[in-house]
Amino acid sequence: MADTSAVISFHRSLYLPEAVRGAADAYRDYTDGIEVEEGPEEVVVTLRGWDPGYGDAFVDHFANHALFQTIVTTRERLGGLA
Amino acid sequence: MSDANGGDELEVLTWGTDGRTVSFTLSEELYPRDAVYGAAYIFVGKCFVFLTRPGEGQIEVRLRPKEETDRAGLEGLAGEFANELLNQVVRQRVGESTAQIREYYMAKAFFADSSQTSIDALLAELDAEELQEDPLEISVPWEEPNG
Repeated sequence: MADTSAVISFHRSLYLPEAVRGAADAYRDYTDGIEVEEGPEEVVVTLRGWDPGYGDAFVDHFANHALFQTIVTTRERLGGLA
Repeated sequence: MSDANGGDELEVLTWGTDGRTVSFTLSEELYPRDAVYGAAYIFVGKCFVFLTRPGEGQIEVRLRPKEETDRAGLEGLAGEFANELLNQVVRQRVGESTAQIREYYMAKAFFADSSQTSIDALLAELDAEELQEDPLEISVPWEEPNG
């Protein structure tokens, strides 16, 4: 597919690993592959082969998705409305 | 808030921009993570938000508009985010400071004497009340004199 790739590091104190994995699942079909490596401090995501027509906004959308999911999940755990 | 290059002694947040994104670093002591989340939740619809940890107790917020914009637009976006952040901090502090009284009211509501709630008392008062005179005959059904 396309020769596009990016590596994003999500700090575990700011992004829930399951939220990052959820974003990876949601975006996987639009790429050649997404790898998620969970380290002690960061979750590192490697995105490969998305349509160049999306530009680098693809990566930004991915990060937004992970953040949104993190916030919603965190609020749900606190017992509040998402 | 002001540009990182042109300082002002009274500024609270200092932001920087590369022309496409605007970013600033927050002290978590002043702006708790939940307040940053609260502001980010509102902004993810109109811009890309990315959070990083540049140091212990610090959160860097990076904002990138979804539409192309100029420097003034980025500055405006940073200002809006800062305002919302402040709003979230105040909400959180008010929430914390009134938590005890909310808990008190909830406890009072749940554990009040159910045999005589305020509604029961009101109904009892209505039952005991003597019927007043009705010179306008409001209590008489319309059909009786007219139909």
